[in-house]
Amino acid sequence: MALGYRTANGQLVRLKPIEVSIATDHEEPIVELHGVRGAQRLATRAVRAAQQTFEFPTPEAARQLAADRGPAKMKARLREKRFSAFEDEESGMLRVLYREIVVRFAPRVSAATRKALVARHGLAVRGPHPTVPHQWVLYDAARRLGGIGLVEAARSLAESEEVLFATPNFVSEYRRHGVFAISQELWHLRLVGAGAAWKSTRGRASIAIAIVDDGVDVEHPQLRANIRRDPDPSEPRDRCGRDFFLPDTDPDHFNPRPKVFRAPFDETEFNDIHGTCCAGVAAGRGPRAFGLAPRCRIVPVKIFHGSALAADARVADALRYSARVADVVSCSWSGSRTPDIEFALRDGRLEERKGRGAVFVCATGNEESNRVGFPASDIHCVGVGASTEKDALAWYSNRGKQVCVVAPSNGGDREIFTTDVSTPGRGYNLGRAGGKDPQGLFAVDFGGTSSATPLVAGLCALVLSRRPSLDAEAVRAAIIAGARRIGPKSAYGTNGHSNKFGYGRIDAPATLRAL
Amino acid sequence: MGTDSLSRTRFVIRPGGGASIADESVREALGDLGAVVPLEGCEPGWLLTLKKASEAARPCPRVARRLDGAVAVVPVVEASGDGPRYPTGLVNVRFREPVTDEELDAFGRATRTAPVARSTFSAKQVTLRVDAPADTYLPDAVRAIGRRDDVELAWLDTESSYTKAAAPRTPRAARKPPPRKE
Repeated sequence: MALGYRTANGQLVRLKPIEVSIATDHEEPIVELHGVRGAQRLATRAVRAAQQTFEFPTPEAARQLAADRGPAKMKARLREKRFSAFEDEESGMLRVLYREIVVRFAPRVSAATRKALVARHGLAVRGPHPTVPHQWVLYDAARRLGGIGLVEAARSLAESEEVLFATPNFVSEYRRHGVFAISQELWHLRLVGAGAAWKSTRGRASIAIAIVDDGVDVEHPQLRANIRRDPDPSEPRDRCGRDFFLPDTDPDHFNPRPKVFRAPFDETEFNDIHGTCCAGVAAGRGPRAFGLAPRCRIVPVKIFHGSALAADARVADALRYSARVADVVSCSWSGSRTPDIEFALRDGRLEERKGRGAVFVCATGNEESNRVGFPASDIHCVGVGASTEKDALAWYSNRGKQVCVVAPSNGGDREIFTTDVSTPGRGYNLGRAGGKDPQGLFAVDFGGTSSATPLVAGLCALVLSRRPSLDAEAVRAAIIAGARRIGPKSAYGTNGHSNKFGYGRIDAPATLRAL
Repeated sequence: MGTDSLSRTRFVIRPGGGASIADESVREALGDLGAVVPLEGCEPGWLLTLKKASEAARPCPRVARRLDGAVAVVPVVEASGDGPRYPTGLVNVRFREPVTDEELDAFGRATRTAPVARSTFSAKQVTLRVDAPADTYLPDAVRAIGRRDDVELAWLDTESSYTKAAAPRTPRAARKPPPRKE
């Protein structure tokens, strides 16, 4: 049975225990949370919360304890005052628990019955709620239950007929959310229902999308906060992604920023300006250029330098790396089918994410042909075509049985607004005075299956934010289940698939509802 | 995995083992055979396009002998439906199981190869250099290595061109003439 508790309306809130250890260092209490990202920061916040709410020993008190009784006794005292920490599986937020349960009884239940019920669960009454009738705070006076025991006691209490609800009295992490207004220029997000989907999740910081491309402007003001820091814990030089065009012996290998610019500076082929746009579509942080997963993280993985030939083995290694450090891998390009890349896709799909597999999302290509490009045509990838703002097929989008879904892009009357290389005079938007964005921070005319692909990658990241334990096949199945059929009915076969539209155009809220 | 064929007219020249060759010397040595252009990629190299298709099935050693030093001459890989791939002169091997350094040494002695690098991300994969690249027709060496029981697959290490799937700048309406009015 999953660990958790039921809310007043019966919804199960699942909790994942976080291992907490308390040590002393030079007589300072050191609290550690194990197995979670940003553990040091979270531990500090957890201790602060516990100190303020549960009279957990303050550092001064701990030092006094150490002085009075010595480190061994202080550790014992800290253990005695231990608190438990959990991760809310849905929101990913920290919840700290120390000895207390909040319970609300049905009005008709007598005081004697209430006290008997409390005693049967090994709890004592801290007191009634000052303003809410029939609501009491209980606590584990004997300190026998521990965190998991308290959660289970709350659930047991909640199952009693006499109890309306019972929840552990958490100190919870809350996040202040900025304005998530989707402007008209982000029509593609509106079309796929981003606003409704974001009521469920805007993505979790623990879920990352690798943008395998020609580099990402990691200093862009609307990407910077979403760049995954230290993505590979086994490689201290890896601060924000890698450049696989260069060998790992090259000093610039650990710099995944755009590097090659050649006039004309707004041409895709000769300039490293493509990946920054893709990153924005997937996980731009806003407030102007939102991605579909604005609270997920981006791992920039550079494989191209302008128009130079790329070593297939390094592209394969880039995919392997991406699958290791990210959950979703977005590839807005196509190339020749090579054994090494096929192996990399297979390995990543079957072995990474502890066997659940990374989700490879790949562009089908813009050649207006009946042939889907590679790697989108590979069995381990989600092939993405492009549709328009009118839910028609974008004229250039390749067709074939490997098209899994389509997502809105240019090709009709509207184009895609997203982040652009922020270096002045570089990027799709060179910053012309009088334009939509004279600073040149945003591309106003991005598109192609290049843009459709990170949009689907963003949706995969939202799916994993809601259900981190899903394997890659289940994510693909969810995307398909939520897809909305567009175009003529005759375009779809009896199996529900169309060579033009795949299984349809992505629909974010429908996909999340299907989970 | 795929249906590749080897070009009879286009060959890649790669200096081997850290050797460097001057651009002029390559053009001088091979210019009478056909067009020689440098390849812009991760590794230094030239593309030789013969004036006429080679009559010899394996012209590479003959071409290589025109250049002093350890060079590999390898035909361009032309995959069906895909663009060309340009061999780097190295060979990639995926073993059935991860191999130790000792096993790799023994493998090198048996196949007349030396390891260049192990894959950082796959313990089963190694990149090799053949001992005598100028005298070796690399596709034959790859086939021989691939036939070994301990090898899952061997293939030519290549560079190729990738296409970013960005927005086509020319709208369809501008590319196609309007229908003619009768």
